[in-house]
Formats: sequence, C-alpha cells, structure tokens
Amino acid sequence: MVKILKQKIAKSQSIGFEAVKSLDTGKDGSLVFRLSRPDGFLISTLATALIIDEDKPDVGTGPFRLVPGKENLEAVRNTSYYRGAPEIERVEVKPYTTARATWVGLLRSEVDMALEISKDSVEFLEGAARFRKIKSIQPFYIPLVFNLRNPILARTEVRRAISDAINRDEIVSQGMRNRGQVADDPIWPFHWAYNNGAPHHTPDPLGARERLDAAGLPVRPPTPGRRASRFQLKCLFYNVDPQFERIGLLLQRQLAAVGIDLILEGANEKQLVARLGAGDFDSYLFQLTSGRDVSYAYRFWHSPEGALGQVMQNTGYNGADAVLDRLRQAHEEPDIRVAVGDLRQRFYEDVPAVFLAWPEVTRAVDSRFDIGNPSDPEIFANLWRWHLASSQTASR
Amino acid sequence: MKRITGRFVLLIATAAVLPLLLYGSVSVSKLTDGTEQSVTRGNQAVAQQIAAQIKLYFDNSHRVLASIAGDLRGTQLEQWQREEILRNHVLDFPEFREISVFDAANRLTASSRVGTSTLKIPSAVETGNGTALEYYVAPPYIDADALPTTTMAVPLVDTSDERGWIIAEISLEELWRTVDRIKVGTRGYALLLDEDGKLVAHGNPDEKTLIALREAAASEERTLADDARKSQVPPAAKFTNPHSGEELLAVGAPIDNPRWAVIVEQPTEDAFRLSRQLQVQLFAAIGLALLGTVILGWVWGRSFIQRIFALTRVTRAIADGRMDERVALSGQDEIRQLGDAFNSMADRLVELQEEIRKQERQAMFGRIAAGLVHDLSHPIQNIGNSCKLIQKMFEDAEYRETFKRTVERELVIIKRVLDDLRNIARPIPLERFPVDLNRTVADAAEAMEQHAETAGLTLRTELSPETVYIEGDVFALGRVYRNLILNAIQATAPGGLIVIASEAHGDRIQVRVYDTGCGIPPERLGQIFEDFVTTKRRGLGLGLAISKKIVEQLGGTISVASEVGKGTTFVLDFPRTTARPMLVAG
Repeated sequence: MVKILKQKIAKSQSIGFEAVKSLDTGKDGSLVFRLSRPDGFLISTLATALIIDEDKPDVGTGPFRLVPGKENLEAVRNTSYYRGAPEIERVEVKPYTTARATWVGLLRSEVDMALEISKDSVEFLEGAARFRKIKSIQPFYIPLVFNLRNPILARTEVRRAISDAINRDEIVSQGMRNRGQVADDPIWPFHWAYNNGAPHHTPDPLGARERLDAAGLPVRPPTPGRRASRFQLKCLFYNVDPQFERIGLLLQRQLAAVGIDLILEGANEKQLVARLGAGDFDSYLFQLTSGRDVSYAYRFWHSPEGALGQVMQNTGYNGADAVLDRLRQAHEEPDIRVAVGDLRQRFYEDVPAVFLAWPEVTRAVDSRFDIGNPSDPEIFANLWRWHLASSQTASR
Repeated sequence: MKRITGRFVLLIATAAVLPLLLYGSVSVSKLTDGTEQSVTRGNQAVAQQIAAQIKLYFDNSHRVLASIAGDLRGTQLEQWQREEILRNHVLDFPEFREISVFDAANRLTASSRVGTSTLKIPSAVETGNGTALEYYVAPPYIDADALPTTTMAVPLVDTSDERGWIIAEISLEELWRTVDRIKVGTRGYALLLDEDGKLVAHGNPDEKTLIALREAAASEERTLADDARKSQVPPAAKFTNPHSGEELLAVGAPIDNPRWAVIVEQPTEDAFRLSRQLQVQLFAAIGLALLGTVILGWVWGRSFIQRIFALTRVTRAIADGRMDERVALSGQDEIRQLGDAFNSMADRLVELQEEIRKQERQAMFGRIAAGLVHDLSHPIQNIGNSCKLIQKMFEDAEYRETFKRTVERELVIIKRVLDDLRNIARPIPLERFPVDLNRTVADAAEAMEQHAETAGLTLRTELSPETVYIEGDVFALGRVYRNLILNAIQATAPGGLIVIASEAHGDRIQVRVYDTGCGIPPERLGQIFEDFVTTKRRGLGLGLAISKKIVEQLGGTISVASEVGKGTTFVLDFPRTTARPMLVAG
C-alpha cells in the first residue's frame, strides 16, 4: 500500500500530493504523511486517487474488482466488500461513440444503464415504463471564459459589465431548453461547503452599459461589414454540440444589446486546444469540470504553477489566487466553508468568466433495477447497493 | 312430480325476466353501437383537431419564414445583418434549428449557422415537384441526437424577381409535445406518420422509442393513414397492437401539407369501459330483478301451496281413517272454498260411514240369524220329531235306540255349529305333532266317500308316492278336508268328479281339492274366506273361514282358483317337517 502510494505520489501531478515529503507506516498500521506545507487538498486527492497496484490491478478494497486483460473496463463483485457484497455480479463498461449510439444500445437492451443520454433523447423516455430516468446536476459547468491577455478583458469592470449583460436564465431556458440550472461560479452547488449566502448574478443590461460607458468604451458607429459596437469580442465555441452554438447566439444577442459585438467562431476539441494553448482567443465557450471537491477550482482558476499549468486555464487570470491559496491551506471545516464563501465572493467581484449554467445530466437505468434513492447526486456511486427488483439476474 | 312452487317461480320469473332480458339485450346492443360510434366520432374529432394543429404548426413556420423573406426582400442589408435576422429568428423560434437562404442558382447566400450550413435545397424542390405549394416539408430524418427533424423550403422572390429559397431545419420537438398532450380516455394517444408511413411522433410513452429506431408504423396504421389521405370521411379501424397485443380502436385524419397523417388510437378496453360498466350495471339490475321476482314468486307460490299441502295432509288423514281431521284454510279465495267443500265432504263421509256400518251390522245380524235358523232348525226339528215319536214308541226298544242315535247325532250337529261360532271369535285349540299327510287325506276321503256316492259323485284320491309329514293336528286337518269336500259335493252336479290330491314340492307339501262343479264367480273369490260369507243360499258361511284359520295356525296357506261352469280348486300349502310320529309301545 505504502509502496503503491509512494509510486503514485512520485508520478502523480495531482495537486494534493505536491506537498507530500514522505510517507511512512505508523505503529498502529496508520499511514503518516509528512508535508512541506499545509495542504487541505491531500484528503480529497487521496479520496479520488486510484490507488492500484499496476501489476495486480484486481487487488483492492472496493465493491468491485477489476478484471485484467479485458478490452473494455470490466469488474466483478468483491464478495468481501466491507459494506456488504454487491448483488450485481459483474459490471461491464461499454463505450459508445455517440449519444445516439448509446441511446440505441439502451433501447436494444445491450446495456442496462446509460451513464448519460443526449439531452433531446430524454424526450423519448418521458413516460416510458421500461426505463428510469435520473436527472442530476453533475460537477460540470458551462462558462464564457475570458482571456485576460486581451487588454479590454483585462479590465475588471469590463468583465463585470459583460457578466451583468448576460441573462443566464435565458441561456438555460432557450439555449439549453431548461435542462440545467443557472451558475454563479465554478463551485459545485452540491459541494458540502457550498452555501447560498454568496451574491447571485442578475441580468442588468442598463448597468452593464453604464459600466462600459464609464470604462471609456463608447458605442462606435457601424462600418461596412460591422455593426455599431463598443468593441469586438471573439468567442471560440465547441461546435460539435449544437447547444453551444445556440448559447453563443444568445450571448451574441445579449451582448449586442449593450454594444459588444461578439464574433462567434466554431471549433472542435482539437482546434480548441490548439487555439487556447496558443492564447489565440478572446473568450471561449465550453464545458468545464468543477470536480466534486474544491481542489478543481484551485487547479483551474489559480494562475498556472509550473507543470500544473493546463491548456484550458491559459487565461491570465490571477485575481483569486490569494483566496485559492487560503482555501488550499484550510483543513478545518469552518475554515474551508469561509474560504469557499470568500472564493465565490471573489469570483463575483472579479469575474474570470461568465459562469452560465450547470447542465443537467440524465442517466437512464433499466427499470428492472432498484437503485435506491434516485435523488442521490450520483446514483452510479451507489452501484454496489443496486439490486434487481425482480428475480432476474444481471451481469452487465 | 313438479312442485307448484317451482312452477309459480318459473311462471313469474319468465313473465318478468323475459321482457327484462329483451329490454337488456336491446339496450346493450344499442349502447354498444352508440358508444362505439360516439367514441369513434369523438376520436375522429380529436384526430382532425390534431391534424389542424400540426397544419397550423407548419403554417406558422411558413409565416415566420415568409416574414424573413419579407425582411430580406429588397432591403440591401449587409451580410451580417441578413445573418442576424436569421439568427434572431432561430433564437426566438426554438423549433428552428437553422435557417439558410439560397439563391436561384442554389447557392447559399446567408445562414443562421456560425459555421458551415448543413442545409441544402430538398431534392423535391430542386426538381420542381414541390414548387406548386406555398411551402414544402421534406420527409423527416433522425438527427445526431436521435430526434426526428425535417426541413421546410419556402420560395423567396427578391427585387430582381429571381427565385430563391429559404430553407429551415425544424425540430419536431414542439410537434411531439402537441401529440404527447393528446390523451384520449385514460390510455388513448395519438401518433403521427409521415408520407412514407414512418413514425414521426408517438403519444404512447412505451412505443415512443420506435421513432428513434426509425421504424415504420404497423401495417394497419399505414393503411389507415393511406385511407385518411384518400377519403373525405375520416376512416376508423380496429386491430391488434403488434407490440402490446391489445385491441385498438383507431381513427385517422390527413394533413394536406405535408402529406402526413394523424392516427388516434385507444385500447378498446379503455374506449368502451363506460359502456361495459353500464352493461355490467344493466345486467346486475336485471339479475337483481330476476332474483326479486324469483323470491317473490317463491313466497307467493309457497303461501299458495301451503294451503294445498294442508288439504293434502287432511285428505291423507281421512284416508288413514282419522275421520275427525278437518282442514282450516285462510283467505277468501277458491282454495278456501275448496277447503270448506272438503270439510263438508268429510262430514258427510262420516255420516255415510256410520250408516253403512249400521246397515252392515243389520245385514250381518240377519245373516247370522238366518244361518243359525238354517243350521239349527233341522236338528232341532229332528229332535222335536223324535221326541214326539218317543212318546208313542217308548216301549219299542229298537226305536229307543234309534231315538238315542238321532238325538245324539243332531246334538253333535248343534254342538258343531256352536263350536264354529266360538272358534270364529277365538283361536282354535290345536295339538300339533308330525302326521302323515297322505294318511290324513286318505282318511278324509274314505269318510266322505259315502256322501259323494249319495250325491252321485266320484271322489278320488291322488296321493303323493312319497310319504311326507307336516306338523299338524289330525282332527283339525280332517275338519278342513271335510269342509272342502263337503263344499265340493254341494257345488257339483251329480256325475261330477271330486279329487283330493297331495304333492310334495321340495320342502313344501300341497293338498289340492278340486271339483268339476259350478265354480265361484270371480267377484266373490276374494271374500270366500271371510266370516259369514257363503256361496250357498243358506248357512252361516263359517266353514271356509274356519278352514283358513286352521291352515294358517298350522303354518300353511290356503288359496282358491275357480272358473264358473268348470270347477274350483282349493290348494293347501304346508311346510314339510323332518320329525316323525312317535310310536307308542304296545
């Protein structure tokens, strides 16, 4: 265990392992981590890290044991699982290339559960007795991320004005067909430290125009091929999913109302990575992960640090570094709650992006399964508790 | 025997229920037909309404696209402005996923899409097949999200009067909802078929996935859709759902552009539920009415028949001799009158019975008196005559001896008559011991032979060759034989034959006495063994009654067969005995 962890820590770029200086076994069988500095993310990193002996991947303590040598991820139940042996004998993960293929696979009973079905396919499931639909807000959000290297966007008041100009409710209702909820910041609303005390963004086009006027960005007359605007703002959006184009068009219209000419430019993942890596963008519209713990917020919104710098966060934003550092050092619950609140307040005051929405994810499970409490944020995490409602057996 | 109560019940039930059943069956038939027609008409109205809504859906889309055409026509807008108009419409009308404009040369001139437009002019429009219409709706297809999508093409005329097209990609999600909202009854739903008979929308949640699989509708549904397009009258059909196996009532309604069709389906179980509930209620009412009338009939019949039963009971009592029984019936109807008449009849019967008894007693007394006079007058007269003669001939010793014999003989006769009378009233004292039956028969025949000869008759014995014994009384048996032979002598004309015979039959032995006499009329045969019954004109008629009594006291039976003019046969039947007479040493 110690050996595996040490290897993991040595190899890993996980943020929680950065401060680990040594790892030893205590007399009572406990693990003793020695850190170079306080790091509250160690616990969450340990909770999510895959601690596995690569030579013996089927050895572990979880409810399911990986079956080595399989093309697709496959696991069998661990009958010695400390919380009770799962009723499901075998779990096979079957990848599908498209949402439609997943959907069709579900219809044809090739799979018993679809981890995510397309937003529009949900319509097919409405009222159908054969499937149980579980809608939830997963830790992913859609932001309009600014590149602060753009001199106009480097100005806090401009970014705040843009944020004020956006009607997030309209984005969710028209751009996402109400399949999501409004976002204010990148902190997952189901995180234990999340509270509703932080300020919420409300659309204020008038205030936005006043801010932009005050910032010395008046509306300039149109020119051939260009509308009257204060400035142009290019926006890369992920064009593989039509939803982003629709959101982009809504943003374009909302920003046009305050005199900002949003120029939309579609890009696939490869193009996005290339453009963002090169800093060749003013803003981009994509779906990012917030993670189930706040370390993801740190990793993404803290200014890049060495090898931890990532392509998607190449925005030049460092306005929340101090609060993020405080959050990282906090290891007591009250301190973490305060730090999370401060971080949300910071993101409200100095917006690095317009946090638009948390998309709703719909999972579909064959009705033969009793999945326990369907309001659980993640039913898949409770897979070991599932059981068949009937006497049938399932192996997928 | 059929009970009158049952007949009453049947009568009342039949009289009441037959009309009820007739009424019920006619009502059910009318109800079923009426409900089916009503449901069908209602569903047809729903289908037509949905078809109108879908038509309106496309008409509205057409109007939106036509207004875009108006916005773009001759306004010399810049490209970004044209695109903004298209994009605003895409944002304001969620059913539009993309709107693009093509010129007369089929070149894309503007699009709501930021990137490359995916639209092209539908082939039917390119070939001119759809240009006669205000707009053309292409056959639906399934997009990347597995949603049925279609494109609409609207002709565009710009200032240079060149034709072009506005093409819009339309999501059919809203149209789905229109179909989904339709609920007919509790389980009825609507579905939408395109021109090729493929499903576009399905209101049944469990069959909605057929759309994503791009399955064709069931053949019956496609036929119904075709009929709807051809017929002015919305068609209706019943068929079995191939997926659920349920019988469906389906109606169709056409849409003229696009040439799609709406079908409203409702499980017949759901459609006719009300009708069936009414049928059940009707049958329950009929059943209750039947039960009520049966109970009523039973009660009425029972109250009626109870009086008949009472009458029957009293009739049987009187038949059993309980002549004092009378019936007491309630009511004032014919049954009561019958009861009163019966009581009167019973009263009269008692009176008549008393009269008959009185007459019988008088007749019996007369017969006994006459018999006694007959049987006793002759010996008494003989004794009287002898007494008169003895006074004159007392000195004649020979006569005295004759007198003595005469008196003794006549006294024996008188004594026998008196014994007969006594024996009728009490058991005859018998001393039973094994006797040789042939011997008794032979003795009797010998004793009576003189009588027979005097009467000019032949008396013959035919004895069993086997010596047989019975437990008998020699004197009693002799008396029986004497009675029977004497009767035969008296009934047989001179020159006739009397035979007394014995025959053994297993453990039984019979003695037959038959003659060739005048015979006994059949109507009197049954009474000849009764007391004081005689076929002769005179006498008490106790001989055969005493003979029967003796035979039965000896364990035997006596019977008679006779034919008038030919003769009579008496048969005595005795059980044989294995015992033998005791020999007295001497």
